[in-house]
Amino acid sequence: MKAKVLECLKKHFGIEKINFEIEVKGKGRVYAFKSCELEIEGHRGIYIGTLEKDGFRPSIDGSFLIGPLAKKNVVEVGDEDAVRWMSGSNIPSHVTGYVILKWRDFFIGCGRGNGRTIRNFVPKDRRISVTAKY
Amino acid sequence: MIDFRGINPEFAERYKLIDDSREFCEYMNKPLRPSIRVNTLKGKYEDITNLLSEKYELQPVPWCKEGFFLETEVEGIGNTIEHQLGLIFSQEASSMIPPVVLNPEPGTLVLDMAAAPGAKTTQIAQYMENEGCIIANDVKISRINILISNLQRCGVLIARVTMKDGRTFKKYENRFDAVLLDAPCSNTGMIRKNYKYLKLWRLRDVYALSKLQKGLIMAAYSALKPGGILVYSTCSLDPAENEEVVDHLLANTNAELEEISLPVERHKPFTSFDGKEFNSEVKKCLRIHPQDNDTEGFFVAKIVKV
Repeated sequence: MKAKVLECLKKHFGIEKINFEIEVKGKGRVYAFKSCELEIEGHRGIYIGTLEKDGFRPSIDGSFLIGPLAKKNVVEVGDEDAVRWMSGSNIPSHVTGYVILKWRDFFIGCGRGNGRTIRNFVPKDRRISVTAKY
Repeated sequence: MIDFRGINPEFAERYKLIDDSREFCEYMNKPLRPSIRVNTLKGKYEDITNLLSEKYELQPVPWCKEGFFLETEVEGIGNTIEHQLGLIFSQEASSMIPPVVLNPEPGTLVLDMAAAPGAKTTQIAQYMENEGCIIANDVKISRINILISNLQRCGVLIARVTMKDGRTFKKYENRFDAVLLDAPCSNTGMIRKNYKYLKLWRLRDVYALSKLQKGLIMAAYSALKPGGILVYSTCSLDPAENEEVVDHLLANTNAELEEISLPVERHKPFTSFDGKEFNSEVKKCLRIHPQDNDTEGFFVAKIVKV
């Protein structure tokens, strides 16, 4: 499973090497962490995305880690689209497949393009109100 | 003006001995200034501050480079794009002090003994540049969930979250490069944020907390490597939870205190209280009353293991 994630990162985002460790848990949920010199039982890592049937779909926090390393399939958006995106709306685009969205100097998650729009995957608890400013 | 006596006479009686000034009452009555910390694990300092400056009037927090008071009225910081992306963390300005004093190096092993909700843990992680390891511990599952959620949003890769009684860390003798003990306390410094802390306050709880804090600080010191730094902090102003706890450590170990040189207005620490005399070294601790810097009340001690 871990090899599959690395393969997806390479094939889809052009990433040869990552600077953190990954662990795949149930339902293909992928977590990133760095090793610890102290062996102690406890929760480790942050959720960085899900291994889907058609590829790896990074989460918002995963896009912050993967985005700076990605060489392709990164789509830049402006202030208005960033607000629409973070409020849970799809945004128009001609791209297809999984793409990481970049707004200014930050990464705001991943969507799946179908040639007309990019489908939004921002979870409800990370959305902002549509009336919020960028 | 807040009527301490009307709401909680026992509290009024106790705090008359701690600070009976008019300014103290005035500031306890005044709403807190909102403040945030820029999270450099999610972006460059300049990029985030430039973005924030477009929307808010930022007033730097003098003792923390990453901290800002928001002068502009902000309705629901949780509904901003910066919060949801983890570019900022809503954090009271005085609570930014302990990680600044701890000043952890990247690549080191740090223990955050009472970590939830994670404001200070995420601040420590950004000072460590996401390199090394932080054992982020708390004792309650409900608080652990909030801690994990905040570590997630802030992009912290180096935390191991444990759920233990902090006193059990005593067995990790001389293991950690740095330890933060932001101890459970009676939260009187937070009355400005919420009057429930005033209503809930009981003197017997202060004595019970003082006993617990003494146990925790002894364990924290045991877990610290020689030469390492232990920062002890609370958001209480009661000497039983502060100077008395530090005095207990000094009396039972070879710990030494260091002065805290930060641009922070402060009150003189108590060298005696409630009929007890404390080691005069406690003068080196940082005691902040709400009127000193227009923040919550706070107490910080910087301890070195010899």
